[in-house]
Formats: sequence, C-alpha cells, structure tokens
Amino acid sequence: MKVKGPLVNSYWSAVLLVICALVPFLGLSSALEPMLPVLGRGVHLSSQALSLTLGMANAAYALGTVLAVQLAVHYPQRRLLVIYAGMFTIGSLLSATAFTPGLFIAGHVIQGLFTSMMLIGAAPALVLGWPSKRLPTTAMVMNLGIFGAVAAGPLFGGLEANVGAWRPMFWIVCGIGGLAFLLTLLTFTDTPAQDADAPRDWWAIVLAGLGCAAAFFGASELETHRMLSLVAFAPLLSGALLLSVLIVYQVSARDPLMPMAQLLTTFCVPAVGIAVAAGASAIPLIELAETAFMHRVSPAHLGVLLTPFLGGALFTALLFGALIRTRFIPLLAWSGLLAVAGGAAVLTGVSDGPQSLVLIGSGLIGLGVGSSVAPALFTVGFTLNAGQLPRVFAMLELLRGAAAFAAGPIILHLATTVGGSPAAGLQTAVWVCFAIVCVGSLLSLYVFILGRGRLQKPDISRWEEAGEPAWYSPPLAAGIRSGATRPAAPDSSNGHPLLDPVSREAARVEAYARAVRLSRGEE
Amino acid sequence: MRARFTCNFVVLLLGAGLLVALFAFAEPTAGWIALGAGSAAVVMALYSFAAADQGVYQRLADGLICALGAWAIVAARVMNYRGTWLLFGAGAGLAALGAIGLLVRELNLARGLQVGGSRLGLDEFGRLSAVQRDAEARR
Repeated sequence: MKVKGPLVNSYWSAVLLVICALVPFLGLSSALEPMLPVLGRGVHLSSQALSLTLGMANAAYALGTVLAVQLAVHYPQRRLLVIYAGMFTIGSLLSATAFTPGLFIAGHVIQGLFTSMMLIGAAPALVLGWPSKRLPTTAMVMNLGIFGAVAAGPLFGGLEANVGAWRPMFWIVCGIGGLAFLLTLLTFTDTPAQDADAPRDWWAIVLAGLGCAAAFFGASELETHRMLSLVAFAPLLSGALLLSVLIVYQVSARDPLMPMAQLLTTFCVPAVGIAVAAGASAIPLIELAETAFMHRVSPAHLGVLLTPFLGGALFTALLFGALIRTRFIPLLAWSGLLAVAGGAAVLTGVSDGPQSLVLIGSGLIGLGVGSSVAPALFTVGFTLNAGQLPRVFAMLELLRGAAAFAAGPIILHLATTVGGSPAAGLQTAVWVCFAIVCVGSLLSLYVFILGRGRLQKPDISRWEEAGEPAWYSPPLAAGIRSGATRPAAPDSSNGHPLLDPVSREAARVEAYARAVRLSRGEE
Repeated sequence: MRARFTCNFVVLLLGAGLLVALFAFAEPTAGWIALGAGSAAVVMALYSFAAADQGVYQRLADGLICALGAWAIVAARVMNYRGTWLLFGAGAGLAALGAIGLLVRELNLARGLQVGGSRLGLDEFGRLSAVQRDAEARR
C-alpha cells in the first residue's frame, strides 16, 4: 500500500514546507554578521575559526545542490526529503545546544548542506506539482524563500546581538527545522527514483566538493591573512579553477548531471550572469554598510536601518508574482541589477555619511536582488524542459552561492587593506561592488543583443503540461554567426512571435541572385 | 551606412582627434578627452561586433579597438602620472586601426560582391543593381 500523508493535497502545506526549508539557514547566513562577537564568545571560537566555520557551512550549501540532484536520480525524492529535513533538524539541535566548538561547527555545516538539499528536493515539486494558476503564488514564495530570508537576517541578527545572546535564534531555527520535518511527513507521497540505473557522475561531485571547499577555505582565511599569502590565495585560485573545470566538464559530458550545455543560449547565459553578479555584490554591500556603522550605532539600531532591505524584497516578491506570466521576467531580472548599482552608488558615501544613506541604499539593494535572483532562475527554468528544473536550480544555486558567499570575505578584506584609511578602504570596496554589478549588467545585455533575443510571453501551460520549454531561446551569438540567418523557432506555429525567416543580409543576397537570373533572362 | 564603415570611420576620427587634443590642450583636459574618446571607441567596437556578417578581419579589429579604448581610459585616469605618451600610443593605435579597417573594406569591395557561389565585379554589381531597379519599377 502506498503511504500518503494527510496533507498531501494541501498546497499551502507544500508552501509552508518550502519556506521552512529555505528560510532558517539563508536567514542565518546574513543574520550572523552582527552577532559574530557574541557568538565567538559563546562557542569559544576565535574570529578566524568562526569565519572558517561559516565558510565551510556555505561551501556545504553550494555542494548540497549537486549532491541532491545526484541522489534524486537514484533514490525516491520524497523519502530523501524526509531524511534531509531530519538531518537539518539534528544539525540545528547540535548548533543550538553546542557546548563545545566542535559541536557548533558540525551542526552549522550540516545546516548548510541539508538546506540546499531541501531546496532541490522541495522547491521544484512546488513549482511543477500544482496547477499553473498557482504559479504566481509559488513564484512569490520562492522569491521570499530564497531572498526574503536573507533580507530579514540583518534585522533579526541586530536585535539578537543587542541583547547579547545567540542561542535563542538557533533554537528558533531548530524549531522551524522541526516544523519542516513534520511537514515532510504530513505531505508525504512516495515517488519513484528518476532513473535508478543511470550512471553516477562522481567527477561532478568531487569537483564541486573540492572546488567549493577550497574556494571557501581561501576566502575564510582572509580574516587573518593577506590576499597573496599562500594559505589564502592558493586555495582561492584552485577552488576557482576546480569550479571552472566542473563547468567545462559538464558542458562537454555526454550525460551531464547539470545541463550546462543546454544553458549556452541567449536567455540563459545573461540570466546566470545576472544572478551571479547580484549575489556577488549585494550581500557584500550590506556587510560593508554593517561594517561602516558597527561602531557608530547599536546592533539593533543598525538592524532597523537595514529594514528597507527586507521591504524591497517583499515588494519585489509581489511584483514577481504579478509579472510571472508576462514577457517581462528577463527585463525584471536585468532591471534588478540597475537597482543594485543605484544602491551601491548611494552606499559609496556610507563610511562617513548620514544614516539615511543606509536606509536608501539598502532599500535599493533589496529591490535589486529581489528582482534579480528568482526571476533569473525562472528565466533559465522556462528555457529548458520542466523536468530539468531541479538540475537548473542546482546549477544556478551552486554558481550563485559560490559567488555570493565567497565574494563577501574577499570584498571585506579589500575594505580593510586598501586606501589610506578605513573610510577610504570601505569606499573603494563599495566601488568594486558597483563595478561588479555594472559589468554584469552590461555583459548580460550585450549577450542578449548578440543573440538577437526578444522578450516573449512564456507558454506556462505548455511548459507544465507537456514539459516543453516555455519560450524559445536562440543559440549564443546567433545574430553574428557568419552566414547566419535569423534563427527560426523550432515550430513557428507554436505561438512564439519568432521570427522573420531570413536576415536582412540574406534578403539582400537573394535580391542580387534574382537580379543575376533576370539579367540572364532566366526569369 | 553599414556598421563596419561607421565603426572604422568614427574610430579613425577619434584616434586622430585624440592625437591632436594631446598637443592642443593641457594635460588634465587632454586626459578627460582621452577618457571620452576611449569610451566612444569601446562603444563603437561593441556596436560593430554585434552586427552580422562583418568578416574575420573586422571581428579581430573590433576586439583590438575595444582593448585600445579600454587602455585609453586606464591610461587617462589611472596612469596619468606617466605623461601623455601612453595616451599618444592609444590614439595612434585607434587611428591606425580605423584607417586599416577602411582600407580593408575598400579592398574587399574592389574584389566584388559574393553572391552564392560566384563573385560579382564592381561593374557587374552596378549593372545588376540597375537591372534590379528596373525590375522593381516594372513590378
């Protein structure tokens, strides 16, 4: 007999499960910054050891996405989800009760690992398992789950740090994890493995594991080492190289774990670039703002100053839900980078400027990241078959997580080492973030132009029901390939407004060929 | 006007203009002019690169123009303590690339137009254009 939970048909239970799965660790990742001194004293960890712990937890988060995709191929997804939620709760329990540093380190790394595994296990099922009329709500939930929690972190972290305690927050996380575990049981319905006989892609897992561990180790060591010191630079460089090798390997593999080769299209490459640029700049910008005001105001006051960050995230979640059925999703993602760039420009004066700069800057960054990450994720998802969604989530979260969590320590290190004064260093670091966003937005726009991309309304019912792409994404640089005619859609009767059958250049050549025939009297 | 001609012509003007400005204006002013010229060269290269059927030479030249434009910006704002000779090199390079690009384009045109498997000479090209115009007028 097939076992089913009592809430298996409840959409809102599935929504709550995704929120409970994503919010705790992602919220913690941004909440811990103001709590670090209190936390370090509480678990008897030096600032370097604490930095390394957080780095390894983030590395585990990035690795977990790849691991979860591989496991989902060979084992029943819903059973795995129960295990993931259970393990997350155990990890949270270890962190909250930690009476030795080792317990805290192990617990926090487990939290990171199983959060991303729950993301891969629960989020695609929420998107694909319910009728398409639910998609706007699902989009809002996904946006809030991925980014809303990160945006709420500084506020709650500041309030917690103000009272000088750290365990209550970890107990709350533990409680939410327990709720997620309960919901996995209540909404349980057994599903078969995708393909139990499929080969295992050990190389992808090894490369992702070593790459993430090395990169985050190197980034964490910047807390007490110079950038070019062997212990920081060598792991950073080798981590970046290993992740690059992973991408090349997945592009060239015959049966890849993540569909990298399919992502080399005009819609996907800019979307991935947008998500990575937004992640790599937004979180460091907020941390720089926190650093600038750390000694000027209380943690709670600082948390309140960063409230617009959360407000921006909530607003863009609603906006994303409203726009998900329209052609404007890629535009929303790209415009988010402009908002982040605006926020960065405002924050350049934060080192000696008024508090209002933090209010305005964090609001703009909240609007920007909320507009960028989840819309970029869905832009990529709509380009591929619906069944590929877990792999798309895995690939994008791996790259975004690696960029966002590793960029933070590097940029903070830059702020403390360049310039003649701390204020000058902070300003330079903010300008670096500004440059990352500008380069990301210009490159993504240019790739879109080179491919002659056009905004299209996604055919969501076709994507969900037939499993086919919701829109057509031209190959990379389709517009400049030699002798290329404008790329035709696979099926011009499918409702996609693509495209003229031939380019202007081809029409010109055809006209002169006709002139040749005319002159010979052949017409 | 085709993107290829526009790009080469504008880059030639930018490079030549920058060379003149370096000797006509004081160093700070010339630096800002170099910044503008470098930015414009980058934009022109990106515009030309995004156009279809530009040919191998122009694709390579677009990359070089973009790099020289970026170099002009860096030399103007970051390495300005080294005097004007870095900017002179950028300006001369841009002017040379623009001029060579125009020359290559003219040579290609002189070789005629490729239509399918055959190449039309300039005279043939003109005659066919007239035939085509007549056919259009009769239609």
